[in-house]
Amino acid sequence: MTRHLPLLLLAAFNAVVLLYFVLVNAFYLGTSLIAFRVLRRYAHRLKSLDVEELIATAGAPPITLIATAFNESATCVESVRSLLTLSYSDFEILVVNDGSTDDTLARLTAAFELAPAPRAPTATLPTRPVRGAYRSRRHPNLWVLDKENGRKADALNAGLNHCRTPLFCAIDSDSLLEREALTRVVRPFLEDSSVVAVGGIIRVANGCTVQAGMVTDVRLPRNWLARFQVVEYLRAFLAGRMGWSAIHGMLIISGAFGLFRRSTVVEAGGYAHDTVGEDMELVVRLHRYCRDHRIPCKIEFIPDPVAWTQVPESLRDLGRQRDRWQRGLAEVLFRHRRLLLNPRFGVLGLLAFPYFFFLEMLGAAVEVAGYVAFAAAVALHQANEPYVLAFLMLAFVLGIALSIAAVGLEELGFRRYRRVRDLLAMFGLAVIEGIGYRQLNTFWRARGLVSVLRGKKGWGQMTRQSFAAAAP
Amino acid sequence: MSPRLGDTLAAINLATVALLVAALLFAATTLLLRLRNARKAARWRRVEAAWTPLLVEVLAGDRPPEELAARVAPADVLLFADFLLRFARRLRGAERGLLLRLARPCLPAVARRLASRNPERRARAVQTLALLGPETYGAELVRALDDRAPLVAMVAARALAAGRDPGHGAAVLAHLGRFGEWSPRYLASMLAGMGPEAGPALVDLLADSAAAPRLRAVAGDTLRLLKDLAAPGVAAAVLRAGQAAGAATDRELAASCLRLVAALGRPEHLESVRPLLASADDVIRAAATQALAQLAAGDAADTAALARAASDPSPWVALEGARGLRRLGALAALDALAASGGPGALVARQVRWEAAA
Repeated sequence: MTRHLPLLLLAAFNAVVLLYFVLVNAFYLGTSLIAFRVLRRYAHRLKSLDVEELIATAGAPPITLIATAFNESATCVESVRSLLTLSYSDFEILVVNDGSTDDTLARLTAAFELAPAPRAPTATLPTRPVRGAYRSRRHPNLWVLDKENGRKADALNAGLNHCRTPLFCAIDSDSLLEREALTRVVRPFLEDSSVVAVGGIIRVANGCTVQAGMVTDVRLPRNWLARFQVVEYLRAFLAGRMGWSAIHGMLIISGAFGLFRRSTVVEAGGYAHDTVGEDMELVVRLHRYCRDHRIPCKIEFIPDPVAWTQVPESLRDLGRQRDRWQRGLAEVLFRHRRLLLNPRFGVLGLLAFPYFFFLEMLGAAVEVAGYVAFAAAVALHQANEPYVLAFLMLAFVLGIALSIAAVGLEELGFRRYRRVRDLLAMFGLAVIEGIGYRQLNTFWRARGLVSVLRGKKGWGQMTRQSFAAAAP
Repeated sequence: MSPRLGDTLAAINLATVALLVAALLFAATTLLLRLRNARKAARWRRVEAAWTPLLVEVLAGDRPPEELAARVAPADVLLFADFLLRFARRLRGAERGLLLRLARPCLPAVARRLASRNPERRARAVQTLALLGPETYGAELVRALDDRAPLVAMVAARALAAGRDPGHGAAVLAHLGRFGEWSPRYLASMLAGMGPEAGPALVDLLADSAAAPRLRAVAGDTLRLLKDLAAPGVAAAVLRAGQAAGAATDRELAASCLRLVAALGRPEHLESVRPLLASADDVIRAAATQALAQLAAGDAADTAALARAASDPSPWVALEGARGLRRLGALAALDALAASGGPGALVARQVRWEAAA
């Protein structure tokens, strides 16, 4: 019996891996199918609702764009210029300089003629001290808040404390919003008063031509890591979030671009300081807060308001980013584990949360352990080679099918990549990302879990380039 | 290999082949989609290039509309309606009349889409008919208010409200309950499109204690946008009725009435406002302070009330209080507050700075 124990354990583990594999892919397929249906209807819906007219009729609800900046000297001026070109009738830009140690504030001051101006807070979320507020002489709707460093959540809360509009849009200062992004993202708030947050799609700016703060020509990047991320982002946003949103299971709105109802976020306590996943944490807490206080709450994703962002082009930066994402995910899911399989939270508690908990968070560990077990089985001559090879081939082909489906969703809804060459390249990427890139990602995610267990905090350094420099 | 393992292996291989075929199908479908989209775009460019110069000549009066209509192939009728729709919002007067004449032959095909099972398609049809055939298809638009899809009903309501036909306006108001989920701000703007003629009906709705408070609040905001001078008296009465009943007035309704009184009211309406300066609800207190700031004549009691409000723990109330002090010219009180270093000091400095800026 003792002699057979390792083999029994190996068999049991195989069953776990198989179950994980079936479940995770069933979810991917499910959300992709739902997204397909929703995207088709969404395109028709946009035709029947002239959004510009809707906004003109409604009187655009004022929006504050809160952009945090920490040592963003290379990109801050360009990003703010891009924000100033947004096509929306009533918006304010609030850049929060989170104690930058470089010349971010000086650059902003010079570029936009900032001058000190009193600005009283409208809320009292705890933050590091605000040193001063500045308003642009050239652009009256541009404000800069200078504060002591407290990390991103703290900076966002400082922005929230000084937000005067019913809606605020949290964005990364290294992201570029499309001109119509606000007009589009505000629509769900007009159609339904119970909407408290809406997320938009994030696309990869690497390789695109950026002129005057706007993406004018969409191309695939030359860098291979960035190319893989293009397909990965399409899969995550168009197939993933679109599907989850359709069944009211949205747990994440990317920190790079999301529109929120200010009062609800302030009442819920603002952004959490003690996690690197503050964007996801806020969304999960909003769900909980609204449920606990019996406030009608809808959190949605709509695919056409676009924010363009630079993705990492080096293994080191990408590894750090994925490590941080995984840490954030784990921290948030552990903190809010009360939702896990909790029927009070409906789809969220019974489907979305368990999916993220068991498959997105623990899945990385299962996958890595699967690779190790496979290696062990081969070493112990216990691997049934035809079976293992068939299983690996199945996983590989399924990955290809899901990625190509995501490219198809992009073509169905948006067709941003106009060149046939780019489309074909994305098919190619869907095939080769399964050889190496996915495994690397799994490794980084598993490392992120280890980092959580070791109590690692912090964001890690990222290399930033100006958008002009990033263009081909 | 055991037969069981052999079966599993066969099943996995079968699934792999099926997925491979699915992946190839996805890729082929994507390429076909690209091809179809490219063709659609090319077709659109072609007809647009053919129709645009003719339309310009028709609108300039150089060609009869029928000449352009005759050039539209039966298969392109819906495309032509889409083409005209793009101009419909921009044209006025005689040019718009010509456009509607041009559109007339296409509209039966569009109207048939009202029977589509797809709600988005029905909504699109309602929008097209509202812009290109509002007089001929008014009955269809009114019927669309009862469409099972809220989107279709809302598109119809918006079109009918913008049409300024009193009969249609009454129909929209009768269906207002269907749009309870939409943003009150949006609903008020939409109803304001009906014009001042809708005032009496909206005043009735505002005064109707049996109606949903949310809808009454929308009526209040609409009346404010319409600058209906009969409305502030009703709003003040609604506020008084709430106070007399001793029950808390619905927050949205009270705030809407206070905004209405602030915008259009007279000093005698302040009696219904003052008790709400002590409301426990920040939103109501801020709206009441705003109303007081707008209507107060500057007597000592009102100035003192605004000064108290300027030090309110709620920043929104404090801001309204400080702005009220500025409006009344109580700059010394504002400066004293700014120099106090206490609560409201920064708000007072901001308001002073706003005045200077």
